[in-house]
Amino acid sequence: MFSWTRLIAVATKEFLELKRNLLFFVVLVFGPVMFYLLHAYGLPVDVKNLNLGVFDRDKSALSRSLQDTFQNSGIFEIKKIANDEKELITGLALADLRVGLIIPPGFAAELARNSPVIVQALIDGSYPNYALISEGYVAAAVNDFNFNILEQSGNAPLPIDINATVWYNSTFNGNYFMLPGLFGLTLVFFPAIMAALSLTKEKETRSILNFYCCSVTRFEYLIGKMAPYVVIAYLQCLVCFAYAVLVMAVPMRGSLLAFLIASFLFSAVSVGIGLFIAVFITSQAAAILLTTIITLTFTFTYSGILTPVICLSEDNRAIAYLLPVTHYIDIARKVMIKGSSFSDVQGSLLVLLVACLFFYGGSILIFRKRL
Amino acid sequence: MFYKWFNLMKKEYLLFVRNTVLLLVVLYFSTYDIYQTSTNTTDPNFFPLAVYDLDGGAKAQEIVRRFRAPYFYVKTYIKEEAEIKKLIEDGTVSAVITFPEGFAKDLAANKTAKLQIILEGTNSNASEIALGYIQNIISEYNLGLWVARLKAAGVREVGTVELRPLFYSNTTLNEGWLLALQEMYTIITLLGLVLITTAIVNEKQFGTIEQLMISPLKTFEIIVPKVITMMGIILMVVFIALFVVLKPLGVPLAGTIWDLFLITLVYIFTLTGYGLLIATLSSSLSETILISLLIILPILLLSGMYVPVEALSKSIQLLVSFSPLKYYLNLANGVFLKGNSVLFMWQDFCALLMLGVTSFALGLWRFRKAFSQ
Repeated sequence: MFSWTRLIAVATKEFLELKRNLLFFVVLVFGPVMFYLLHAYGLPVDVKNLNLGVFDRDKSALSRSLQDTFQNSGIFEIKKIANDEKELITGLALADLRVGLIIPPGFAAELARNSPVIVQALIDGSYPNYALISEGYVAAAVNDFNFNILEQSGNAPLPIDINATVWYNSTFNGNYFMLPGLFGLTLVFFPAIMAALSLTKEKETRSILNFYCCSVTRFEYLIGKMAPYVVIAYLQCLVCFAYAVLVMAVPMRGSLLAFLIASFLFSAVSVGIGLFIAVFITSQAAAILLTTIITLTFTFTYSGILTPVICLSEDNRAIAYLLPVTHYIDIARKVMIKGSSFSDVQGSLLVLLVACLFFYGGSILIFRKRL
Repeated sequence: MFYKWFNLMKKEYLLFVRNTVLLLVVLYFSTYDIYQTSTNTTDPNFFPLAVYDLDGGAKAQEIVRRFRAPYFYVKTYIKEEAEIKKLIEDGTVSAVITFPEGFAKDLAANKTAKLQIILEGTNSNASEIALGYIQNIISEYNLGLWVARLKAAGVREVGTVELRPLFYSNTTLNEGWLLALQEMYTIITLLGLVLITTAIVNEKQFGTIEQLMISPLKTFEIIVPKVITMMGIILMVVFIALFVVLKPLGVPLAGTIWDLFLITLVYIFTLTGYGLLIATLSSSLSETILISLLIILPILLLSGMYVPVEALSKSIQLLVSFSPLKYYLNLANGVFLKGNSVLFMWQDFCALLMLGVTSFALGLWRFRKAFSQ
């Protein structure tokens, strides 16, 4: 029945086919790595450089000092000093500005007279998350300004002082969050596409007929065909990992073994997802569209790559835990940043193993040696 | 001449429609996929907390009450210190607030009371936001109390600045609308690049392009009907998607539909230009798809859909200025949410048009060169 020779023969054929097509091979091997490097370097998660426009109707030393509080917060960059409200609105409408600040006339005079003054902030709602964060920062800057006034006006101690400690990542380094997550995105996407393409290509160019009429079993054919892709994906993951740890200085605090096993399992799962899709579909264009949308949409919405899973709503969290990518990203973050041991993440590893069995088992059962 | 064109267009159209799976996939994207994505709103501000109250007074409770929704969700009260480590390590909560012993006493005695916060830094972004919220909540509490203390210390009325925030455009910060629009932009971008490249490369791969070459058609006449048909198909998809976005999802269209139509047409034209360029790079479909993916992904991720462009590093910003989606995103969000007209956003529009004309001309030129060999 099962023969290693045939399985290895299929794998060798697939690998040779890949290798002989030089451009494809180069893109296949270096593309995902480039993708990782580009995004590890270029996709920030920290909110900074928010473009601020100020319409200062007071133009006093005190209103200038409020502007300075914003500028010095390190979050805002004063992009425009507007002469009327319309200029601010135009800036927001064209997305040149994210926040517009309106300081009322008599700002300094009112404060000197010890009565409260209302300052208006117009915040662009185009990115709800960013808008909320911006609102927080605007409030923080105004609070800073107020505390300065209070400190100068009399001798009374601050009521509550916050003493914050941040575990695992004391400087809120965004790389600690993003780079382990990006492993998940890189691995969920490219290997799946490659696998889906490799099978649908054979279907579309009809070379799959060779398989239909030869003695290779479905198991040997599918596993052998996918093996090179799993190996390539795994090697890519290791390169990205080396980049994250050695160049971007993301720590590796926990069990390296757990990370290596998880990465291998997840490479296999990702290839398995592509295979599973390709079993149902014959056209390369359709396979590519379907795989892209399924992997990207689910990864972005649920996996925790941008929004931590614990911050998702109850229902969405349930979906998140069904996805292998969520578990993989979780393992990567725990092992690298939190320093978890093998036994801390073995539950998630088990999920990856089950997912592996599901996708390959399902594909082999559904796939038919028939036109 | 138009008869020839018409026939070619008909052929392209039939090819598309007869590929049932592709047709179904495209229909799924433009309808259910958008709908489903839009209803998957996340609430990243619902941050799970644990409270470790060593003080046990009413004052601590009053402050905890301020930490409730919409920003925080007090998940559990901790009894002993060892629990902190466990809860944060297995990720049950992301922050622990500790009220030390004598917290209420210090507050009452006109001293500075200490509040201890432990945050989990793995989710650096969320934790930083949470810390910001915590600071703002405490600051607000502090402000009133401090003014009262100053008054007691003999300072008469103190003036402070009060903030009145107002959200512009998406005034209620409806995330569902944004997700729906994002998914629609993603789908237009994907289809725009993939459909035209596959239409051209498929002919190369199966050798049917030789048939076209020996027909009495110029290169230009082979490409243009193809492009027009594909643009037509994508426009139809956009119309279906638009219907889903406007009707069941209720995203408001603040601008005019004609502005939207115009910018979408130009965007699709630009995408076909890019697709044409990609199609000339290789004659095998899988290679072409691979290359186009390497271009599509950064376009989708870095053009400002998830993170505003100005937050990216400068060198990446330079790269992103070649991404048509960057301009389309501004334009379409402007029309949908802000009610801008195209004339008002002429800079983005011109940039998009310029990218389109350049890439299309370049693609056509490269295609011609490949043909004449």
